[in-house]
Amino acid sequence: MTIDREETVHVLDESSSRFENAASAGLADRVWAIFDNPIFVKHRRTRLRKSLITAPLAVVFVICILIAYSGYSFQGFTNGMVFSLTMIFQAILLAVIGATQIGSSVGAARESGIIDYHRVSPLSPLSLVLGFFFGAPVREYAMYAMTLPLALICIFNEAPGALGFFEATVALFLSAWTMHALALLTSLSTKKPKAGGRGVIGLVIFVAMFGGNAGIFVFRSAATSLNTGLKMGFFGIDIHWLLFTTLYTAPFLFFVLLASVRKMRSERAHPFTKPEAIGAIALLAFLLIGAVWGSPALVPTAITVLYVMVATSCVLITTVTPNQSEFAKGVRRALKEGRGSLGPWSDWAINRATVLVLAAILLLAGTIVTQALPESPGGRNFFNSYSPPEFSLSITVATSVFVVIYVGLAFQAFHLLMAKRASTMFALFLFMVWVVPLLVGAISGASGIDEGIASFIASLSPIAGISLSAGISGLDSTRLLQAGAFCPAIFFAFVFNNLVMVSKRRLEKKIRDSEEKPEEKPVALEV
Amino acid sequence: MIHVKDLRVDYDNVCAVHDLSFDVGPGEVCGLIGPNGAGKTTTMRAMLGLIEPTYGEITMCGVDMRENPRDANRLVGFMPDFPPLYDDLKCWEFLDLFAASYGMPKPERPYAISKLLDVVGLTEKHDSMIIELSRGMRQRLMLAKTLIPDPKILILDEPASGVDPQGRIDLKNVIKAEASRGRAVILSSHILTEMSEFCTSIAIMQRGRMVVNGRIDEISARVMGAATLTVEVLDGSSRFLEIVSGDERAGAVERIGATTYQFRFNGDAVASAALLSNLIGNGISIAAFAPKREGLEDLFLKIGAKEVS
Repeated sequence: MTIDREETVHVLDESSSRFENAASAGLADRVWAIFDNPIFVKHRRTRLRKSLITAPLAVVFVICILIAYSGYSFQGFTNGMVFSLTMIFQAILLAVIGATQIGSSVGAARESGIIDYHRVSPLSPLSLVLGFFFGAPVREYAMYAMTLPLALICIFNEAPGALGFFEATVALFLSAWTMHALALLTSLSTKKPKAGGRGVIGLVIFVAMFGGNAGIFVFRSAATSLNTGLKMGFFGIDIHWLLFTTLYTAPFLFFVLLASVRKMRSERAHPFTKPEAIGAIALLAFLLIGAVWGSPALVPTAITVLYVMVATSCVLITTVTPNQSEFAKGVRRALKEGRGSLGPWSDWAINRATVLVLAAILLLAGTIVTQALPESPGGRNFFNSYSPPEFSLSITVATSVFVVIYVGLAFQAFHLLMAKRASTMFALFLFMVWVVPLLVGAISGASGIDEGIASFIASLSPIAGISLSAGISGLDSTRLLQAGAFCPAIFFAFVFNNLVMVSKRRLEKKIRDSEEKPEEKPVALEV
Repeated sequence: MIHVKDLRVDYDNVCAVHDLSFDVGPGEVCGLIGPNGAGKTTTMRAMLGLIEPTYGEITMCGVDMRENPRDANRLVGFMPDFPPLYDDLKCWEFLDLFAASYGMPKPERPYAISKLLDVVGLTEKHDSMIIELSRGMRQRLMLAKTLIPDPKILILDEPASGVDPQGRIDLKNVIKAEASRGRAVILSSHILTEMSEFCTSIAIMQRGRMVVNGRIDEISARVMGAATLTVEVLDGSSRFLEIVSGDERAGAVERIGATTYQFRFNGDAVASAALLSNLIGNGISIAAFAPKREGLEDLFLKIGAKEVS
């Protein structure tokens, strides 16, 4: 090798002028740049190499031939069987294999450390996310394209029609992208990159096991029920089912990709900022209210809404809660910048304000769903068989609100009190107060102890407590069950609020003291 | 060009970098030296925006890394010690990926890639798969990738690790070439003798703190004190001994050969030149006059670090 310094200078100087040209590129160039995403191009090159793509395409082709053969043997082209099988095959290719590809691609990039090169390049985190999102499963898209002739034969046989095929395809892509987005976020979030890939595979297996039968049913019925103009209610307005599905899937995709962008920007960033988490729960509340508006079975639907809101709030809280070292970092920065304390919406600030806002949204949404909507006779009929003596959903809503508050504050308290093992101890706490009462209640009920006592024990856990406090057990002791659900929630909220504040003040004082005290220099050298 | 002020980085309640401040100017090659765990890599990663510092100011050519990381990163070329590459790409494809990432227009890329592969001596590997490359070749390819955006600042973490002797010479030449073009270079390495050949300044770190930093000759003069002067006198030995003995900055003269003398001289380059001029002015015939200071290794050990990373 010979180093020609002049030539190096020449080449690099030319490069500089090229970058300047690129910076002043026109709109057409900018539009092209979207399709010329370097990460997408990288995956296209590696995953569509002739030597690597030939065998998978041959397998897909043979499977399509087999499906077609079975279709001709059982007249499956006209009764929707072939289309159902094709859809299942497409779903496996796109949603299952595609998601695992994203997981392994991102996991490998994190494992090797090359993802850091991308992070320090001028490519935006969004470009990187889109590059992996569309690029990693590019071979699966090619394999999907291979199945399209079979689908076209089904359209030719009017099972389903062109519009039905379009609807099914949109639904398929929405499902696949949802899986892809979850896979991307999982693989970016796991502490061990390789574990991310395994996590995605686990996720896929979980979905396949629990959603498999439902999926097959959906696909079996898809061919015949598509294009039937099924409508779904949104704030009392009937809209096409596909639009309804898109309306609910798009925000989910948006927020998962938003979290992925943040994780792509920085390994140690929280998936959401605090305002983003609040925005997510507010949007969820809006969509849930829209869905249950005018629902014929109002009460169980309202309880479902509460469960969904509580579960989502708890998950979101974990994504915005700083650990002890992050909080300490934030306090040090605030002190250095001459501020007394961190702003409540800072990533490194304690989650107390966010928890309160999330709880307030839950209170509002729960109140709207349980109190403000017109109760339909169907909803009452649903409960007639239980005949609850004293029936009120106000306590149920309040219980849900305090569950969110104490879970959020407990998570924060454990992370402020412990530098390590905070998550483990929090999980242990949840096991003790959520799972143990549930199990004890179930065992007591099964062993023949008084049903009221067994229900009361179970109601101590919010998993059962939220619904039991709504009176769905049909027992006379609803008041007792409400107390069983509500009292632990408000007690823990009080305890953990105090713990959070005490540990926060203690940490702040410790950090202030350490900042004021001059530290020992490592080497005493006068130069 | 590189300005770091009061940088602090905390990792899980451990302070990895504590109130670090230094500057690297244009054309300067700064060697970051320190034992394992001193905080060199953490400092570099914070400078690149890969780690969010607790606090501190990092600017690259005046661009604030915390405020505008993408703009700052356009100016920086980064090369880590273990080059992670996409093994399933060809060499040109790998460079093309990053050329595209840095916004180089597509038609211009093949020419630039060929030239850069030539610069690092991998022309014949243009179409080879990266998985087929040796460790040294991978490092060279990474260097080519680092040079793609024509960075104004180069941050190189152990760049010579795993590179063969010829590759080290080439790397040194590239770094010198870049410095001569006014680029600021900051690099860490455990091969201190090689660093002393092309570093103009050093920054020695220990336990997350800066122990000393500045130009090598200045630090060397201050820390190591006197240099050793070796003088070969062809004629006028007695006069030579008289003049040197009379100079208060000179130590005891030791005869180490028939006409060669050695003594400690506590003065900088200007003082050495003045002494030489004085000797010649007094009619002494000087065949060789060689001031020698201890190298970086001696300096590093003197400063107190026992373990070289």
